[in-house]
Amino acid sequence: MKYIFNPLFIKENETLFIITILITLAIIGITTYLVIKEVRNGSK
Amino acid sequence: MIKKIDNNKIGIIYFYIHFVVEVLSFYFLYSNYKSGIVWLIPLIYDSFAFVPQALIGYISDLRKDINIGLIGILLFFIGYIFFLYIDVSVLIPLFIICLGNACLHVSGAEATIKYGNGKLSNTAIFVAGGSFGVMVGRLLSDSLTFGSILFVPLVSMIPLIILTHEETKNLTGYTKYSFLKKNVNSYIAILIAFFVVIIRGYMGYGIPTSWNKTTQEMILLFTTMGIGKALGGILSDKFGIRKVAILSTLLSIPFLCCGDKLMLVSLFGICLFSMTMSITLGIILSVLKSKPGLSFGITTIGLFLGTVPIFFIKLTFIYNVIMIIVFSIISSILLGSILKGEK
Repeated sequence: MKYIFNPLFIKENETLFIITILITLAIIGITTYLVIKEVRNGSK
Repeated sequence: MIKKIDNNKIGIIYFYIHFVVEVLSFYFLYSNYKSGIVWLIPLIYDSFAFVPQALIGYISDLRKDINIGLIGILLFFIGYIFFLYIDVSVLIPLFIICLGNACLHVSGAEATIKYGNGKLSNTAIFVAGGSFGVMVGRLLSDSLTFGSILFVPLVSMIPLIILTHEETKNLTGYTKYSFLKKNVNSYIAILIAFFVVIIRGYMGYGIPTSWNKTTQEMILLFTTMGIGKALGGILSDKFGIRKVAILSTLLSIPFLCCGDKLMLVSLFGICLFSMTMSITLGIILSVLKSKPGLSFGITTIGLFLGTVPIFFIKLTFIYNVIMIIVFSIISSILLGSILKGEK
């Protein structure tokens, strides 16, 4: 898919955009923690 | 435990399931392409279908009795009811379908990894089904007006999911994946695999393909991607993961760079470039042996991060070519440095 970035789309849906980014970052953060925990515990 | 499913068939069963999942997802996505928040829809889709797979996978790794695939089918069912019959914001079915998509991906990854017993073929065949599904879903969104018919393939997945979950939930084949050289640092291995996935995710969109204009050409493009993904696992099992990783990454460079206007040249490059898909999963599995769901989810987060730039920047042809060359060489060197040579 090719989407051309248009700042208006963010401006019109600013809250939705920010929520999406925040949730995504939170999930990536939790995943990073789980991976570190697994490696430290020696996932066997 | 006696296996009721032939070892080679699990990949084919999940090829079909993955195919149906992407048909349903992309039929929905492209049917909503003209709505007011068009730019955000694919970004939200990528965020909520790709990123949570690691968490869902982790939960599924811990709770093997939960049939995560059935939950995925239920979510698709609810999402499609909202999409087809209830007049609500597109965001409601979008979130539900994304989570259904994530659950079914995790289900497929776990089943094929457990059944694989250290071999990548089944997982690679499962992964390949997605490319064909994306293509058919896009085509159907233009031609299929009676969307309710898609409940038929959705329901058809239920017996397959129940059977494969019962067959695989107690298998421990995921502990047999071992593709790394001795003494390779676990964090380094995961970071390298993650980096390669991000690069592949970006390149999937950044490859110059100005030849791709007609529906037939789009079908060829996605078919080649699917074949490449499947071949990556099959050839790795046959000839060794290191050889396939290095050769496919390096050989793809001239074909990708010179194939902007030459379809066959480009397709050959795309086939080679797609082969690393299951190889990177194999690397992460070699570290996180008891967490196949989490391992698969890490690769999908990488794919998401690789696709994010295309929402914000549009590189010129020459920049794309430079990036393909530089990052392919780096990926090849990094993969060669951690993967062991023997099969």
